[in-house]
Amino acid sequence: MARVMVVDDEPIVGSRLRPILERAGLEVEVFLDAVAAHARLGECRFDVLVTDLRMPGVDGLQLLERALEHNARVRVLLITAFATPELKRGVLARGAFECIAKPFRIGDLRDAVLRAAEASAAGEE
Amino acid sequence: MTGILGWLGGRERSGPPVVALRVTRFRQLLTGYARLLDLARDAAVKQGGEYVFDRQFVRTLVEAAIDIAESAVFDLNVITREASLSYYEACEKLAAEARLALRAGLESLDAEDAAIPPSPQGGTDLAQAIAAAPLLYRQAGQVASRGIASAPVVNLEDAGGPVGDPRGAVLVAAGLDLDSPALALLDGAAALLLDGNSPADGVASLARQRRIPCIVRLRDASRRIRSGTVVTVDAEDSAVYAGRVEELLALGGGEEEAEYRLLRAVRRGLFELTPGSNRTAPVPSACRTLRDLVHLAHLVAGDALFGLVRAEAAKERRARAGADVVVFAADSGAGTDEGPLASVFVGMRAGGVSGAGGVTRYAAVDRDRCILLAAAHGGIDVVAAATTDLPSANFLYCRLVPSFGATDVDGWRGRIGAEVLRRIGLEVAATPREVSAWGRGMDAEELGPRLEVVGRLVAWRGGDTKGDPVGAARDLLRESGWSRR
Amino acid sequence: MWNAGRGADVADEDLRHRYRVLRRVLAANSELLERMADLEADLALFDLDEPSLRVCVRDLLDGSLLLAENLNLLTGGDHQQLYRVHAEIARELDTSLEKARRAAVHPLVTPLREVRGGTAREAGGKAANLGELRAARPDLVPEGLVVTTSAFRHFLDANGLRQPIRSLSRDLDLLAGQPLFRERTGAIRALVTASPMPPQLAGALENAVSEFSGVRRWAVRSSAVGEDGKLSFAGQFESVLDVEPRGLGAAYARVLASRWNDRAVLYRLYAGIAEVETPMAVLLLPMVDAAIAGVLYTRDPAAPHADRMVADHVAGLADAMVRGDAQATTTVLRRGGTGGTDVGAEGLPERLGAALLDAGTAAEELFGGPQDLEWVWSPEGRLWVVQSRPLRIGEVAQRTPEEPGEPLLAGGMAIFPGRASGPVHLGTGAAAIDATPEGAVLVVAQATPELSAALPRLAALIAEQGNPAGHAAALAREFAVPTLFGVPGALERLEQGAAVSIDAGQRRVWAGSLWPEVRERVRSRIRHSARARRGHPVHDRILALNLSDPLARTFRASACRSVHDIVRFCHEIAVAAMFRLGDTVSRGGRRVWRLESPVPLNLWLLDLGGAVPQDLRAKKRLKAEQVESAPFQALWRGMGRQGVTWAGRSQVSLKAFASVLTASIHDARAPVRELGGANYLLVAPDYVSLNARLAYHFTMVDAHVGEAAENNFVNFRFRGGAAGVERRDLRARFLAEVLLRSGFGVDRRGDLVTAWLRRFPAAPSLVALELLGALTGCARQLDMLMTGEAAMRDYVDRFLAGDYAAFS
Repeated sequence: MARVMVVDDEPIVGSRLRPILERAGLEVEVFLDAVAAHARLGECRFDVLVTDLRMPGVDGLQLLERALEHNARVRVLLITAFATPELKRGVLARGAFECIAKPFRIGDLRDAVLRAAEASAAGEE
Repeated sequence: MTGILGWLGGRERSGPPVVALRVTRFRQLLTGYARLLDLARDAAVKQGGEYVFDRQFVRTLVEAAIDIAESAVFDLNVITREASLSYYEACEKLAAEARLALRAGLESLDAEDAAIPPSPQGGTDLAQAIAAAPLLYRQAGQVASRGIASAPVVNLEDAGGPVGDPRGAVLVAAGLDLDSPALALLDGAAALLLDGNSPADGVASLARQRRIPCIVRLRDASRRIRSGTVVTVDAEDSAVYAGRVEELLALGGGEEEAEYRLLRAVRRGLFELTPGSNRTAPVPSACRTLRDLVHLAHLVAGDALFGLVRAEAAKERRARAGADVVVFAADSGAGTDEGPLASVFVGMRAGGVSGAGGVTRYAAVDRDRCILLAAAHGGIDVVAAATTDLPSANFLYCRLVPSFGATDVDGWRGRIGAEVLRRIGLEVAATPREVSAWGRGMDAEELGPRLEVVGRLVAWRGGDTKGDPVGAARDLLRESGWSRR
Repeated sequence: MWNAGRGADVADEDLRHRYRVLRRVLAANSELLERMADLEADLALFDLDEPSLRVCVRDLLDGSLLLAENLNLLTGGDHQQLYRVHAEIARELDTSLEKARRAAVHPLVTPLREVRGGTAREAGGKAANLGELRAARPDLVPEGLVVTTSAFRHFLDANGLRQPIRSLSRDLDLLAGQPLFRERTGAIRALVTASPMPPQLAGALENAVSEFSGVRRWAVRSSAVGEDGKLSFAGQFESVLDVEPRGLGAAYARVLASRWNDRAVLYRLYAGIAEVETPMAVLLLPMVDAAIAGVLYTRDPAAPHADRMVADHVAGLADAMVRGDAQATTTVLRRGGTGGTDVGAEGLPERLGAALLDAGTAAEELFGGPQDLEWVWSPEGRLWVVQSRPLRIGEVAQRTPEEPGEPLLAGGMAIFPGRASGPVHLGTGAAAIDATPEGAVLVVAQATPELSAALPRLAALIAEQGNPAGHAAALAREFAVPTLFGVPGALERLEQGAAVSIDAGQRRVWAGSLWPEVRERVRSRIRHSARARRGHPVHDRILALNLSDPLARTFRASACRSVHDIVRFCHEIAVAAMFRLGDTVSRGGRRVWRLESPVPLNLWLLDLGGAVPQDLRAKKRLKAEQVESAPFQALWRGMGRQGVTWAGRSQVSLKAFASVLTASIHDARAPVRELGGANYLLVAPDYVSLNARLAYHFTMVDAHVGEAAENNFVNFRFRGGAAGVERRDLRARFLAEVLLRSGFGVDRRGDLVTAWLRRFPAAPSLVALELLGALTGCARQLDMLMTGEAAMRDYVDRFLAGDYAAFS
């Protein structure tokens, strides 16, 4: 079972994503606090990281780097309300799996997470 | 039928191209209004529950609506040459109110416990149970109201009337509107599945108010799902299963998140057109929502544009007295033989426009856009349209004086007009001062016949209404050749 | 009409009105810039008759017209010429777009006999060459059919493929080498092959094929525009052989799909070829039975000057050989001689050798250069040429550079992808930028349109800050300069004169000269693409930016040649006009509040809208923290920084004070105002303007700081003052030095110091404002302190070190 970490300081993201992802058979940990998530990435291996880009304390790109440090096969989905093409390009260039604009259809995000989990399992590093 | 002038209304005169500037400005105002309606529709879809949005979305929504209103008020003041300054004040007041309401909402959200509810049960069992359940639909429709429910189906499309007790049932229908008698069955229903409709429409809103899980645009649902079938509707995840999926039902639909309540409150203050707000005097201070203000601004701007265009036309000797419509044409070879204005003219001619008694109608056209302004029964009718090869850039807007004048105290023109416009698929708003309608995103072929109908409405002088607006509307559409389509 | 009366105070109302106009100018500016960036991207993908492109052009024309009107509203009609300029631009565009619309109609399928070199745009390069050869030598080329580029567009449109392909193609340059790249190109190919022939095209094809009643099998080959011409695309596309007539539709789709083969996509990306430049036509030739088949080089690639041709051939079809799957036999043919030497055991029939020499000579003469022919020798002993393209002698296989080591810099935003090597040139200040040598990698703090003069000379550009949707980014793309924005610390980490290599697409900079040859290739491409684009009406009349330097004398309404020029002109002039306006403010009106503060300045605040909360509007006095405006708060923080004093002077010698007094009596220019006279702050949530006359000085700050960096500006002006000329000069130099070293653009004319910061993101803009707040406080005392050059320099250092107490 793939392990997914969801990080967003907006509580609605975690509270809506968790049940949907669990229904799809994924193991989900949800964080409101990016700093705590950052620490947790060092303790435990995750297959997929879903994170907001802009958060107080630690931002999504720092989490992305941290996640990749600990597991080169992790797939990272960044979600952001400011998904300009430039930002998207920047994020992809830093190794993100996908960049998804907020608001998003919950089914689309679930599908993206499943794709990411599959890619992680198939895993090029 | 027409007298055609250059776009610039006499290029030889020095100074700014007044007609081009004002027409473009007015079009910008209309485009802003259309964007406001798009925002409203989009926000209603988000309210449906299929999307995850956060507070930032609501903040952005408020600011975007305020910006549209500010821009509309600005354009209005340019068009009226600063004669509408009080709109600024009204706009600031409404903007401040909207921001205040938003802030209050956000603060109360902060006050709530932000913890994320823990997982109700082990994920694996649930996932397996769901994977094993026979799936009827997944991600097929759009969620209009969230929740999870299971019950036998009552299919409202069944020949010979629905079979079974609608109370506590999952209602399935092709489509419903707020006038459908079947809507009475909604009370007490377990869930609602519709082939058509939209998460942004009134029925969806009703389902949300009553907390009935609802999925719309679920293709062929009314043909595929028979009465009596037991289904489980998962309107949290846009899925329908055959049979009861106990594990899903055990999850239940929790309380909706506070963000949804916030969005609902904010939408009301931004997008509602409060019908009574300008009943007595059309003044900006009486506006209650930003939509009220933008609506009023676009009416006043249309009136002012009419005055301006008439004055400009009067300067032109070439504006022949015999013309029914004085047309300002862009330099780029625009005419009245094709494009949206041609369609409007077809309708107007069929409706019996004649050249008697001086020019009271003006139009501005370029290659694929037009604005028609016509004096009618003590007010101004306006038609504006764009018919390009790119449907998303197309629109049809019209506004009608709602009465034939002193003899029409009951406002038959407005009532019938609204009915006609609704029947040709436009989004209609009727207030005591006017009937206005929007159609967006159609291709040129869809717009043509609609423009003809609108042209006919503009030219129409009434007739025997028999006290039946629906019947009169049907007659008018038939005469326009609409019902044949 | 339901008029409201004019506001109580006309001046007050006028000011707020103008601020509203400015806001609309700023909003329109960023919206139009964004649409232009979209348009630029679409221009590479679409033809002029694409509806979305036309609608975008129209919207930009409307938007810029209203923007010009807004500027005239702001300036009282000073720039009416813009209307004439705009009308001209609109007229020209309309003419070109109409011409394009009418010209866009071509047949979907054409017989090869009607195809010539001049119709390469419709028939593609391969078919055009072959058609040309056939016209000259009908005996050498079989009659065939061309499914034109119009059919290609029709196929995409009818199947609704444009948008999905467009979104799948996004950012492919960044994904090169990643699995996602292959997924994306694979998805595009799958979309194309899964799409049915549109009925109209299927009908046209069937009709045309029916005239070839004897043909049972067809060869279906690519004929992309550009293929076999200036560009080679060699071996990038698919050919399908032995196709029965009923299989032609599927084969056609397969060949179209091969336009998105990984190698072809990469080739276009690296060569900088716009998608729209290379639509795909498809060539259909009857299959010829082959006894022998091969290729003929009309010059020996190994010895180009030798008077001979070279044929590689195999028995049967040549396809496997061309792919490299089958071993070929090589035969050398002497020109003017009779046949082959070096003939292998199963060498060429003599008649074939003669026929090849004849065909090769004919093709060379026709095309005016050595050719590379593909041919078939039928069992009946007849030679057919099925392809002829220019032979590129000395064409070197592209070297892949060895993996470079650790990069010097990584990150940022790729504004224009590409590689370059060159010496670093640190562009600190306008003079340094002007002095950028040819072929340098220019490094600057901020990407501004003023770079345009240097851009054509650059190998690459690196900016620590820059807006990817801004003017400078548009210019970098226009000049096709590999460019990175958003590389903080670049100025510090790169050394003047050091050789570096940049791969903008990969966002990396390495030490050393890794690919010196790239620059030449890139430069020749620039010349090529600039030529191609110049004369493109949408480019010239919309996107081209001719007005780049606001200080130049040519920065005039009448000099605008494009929508971009109009947008830039209006933005620049509007901001300047607002800045001048601050001086005319007078007290009165209903929206003025007294600001309570420890700063002993008689400060009044005028709300331009939204900065004073509703519930406080009834009050007469406000506290600074109640004002809702980020730029105001930043300025205020600066004014209140530790050590900045606004109270009376302390460390001023009596002598100095006396000299100030004497000077001020005779200096009519100094608007003398008592400390304690009213000073005005105009405030909105994203705007602040301070007009202060502090004793003998006149200070102005105005700033707009919002989400869109493109609209942000921070302006500062300082003038007047008492004291003698020498001291005023010292003070002005002090200010100029501090501001320069803090990243401002600075202009100093006598005692007037003007400084500006444009298009920075919100955070650095606010930092700059804070600095201006502190500077305004400290500058009050300067006349007394500027006793000489050394003191001036000392105070610059002290100020920058935050030692504000030194000024009290």
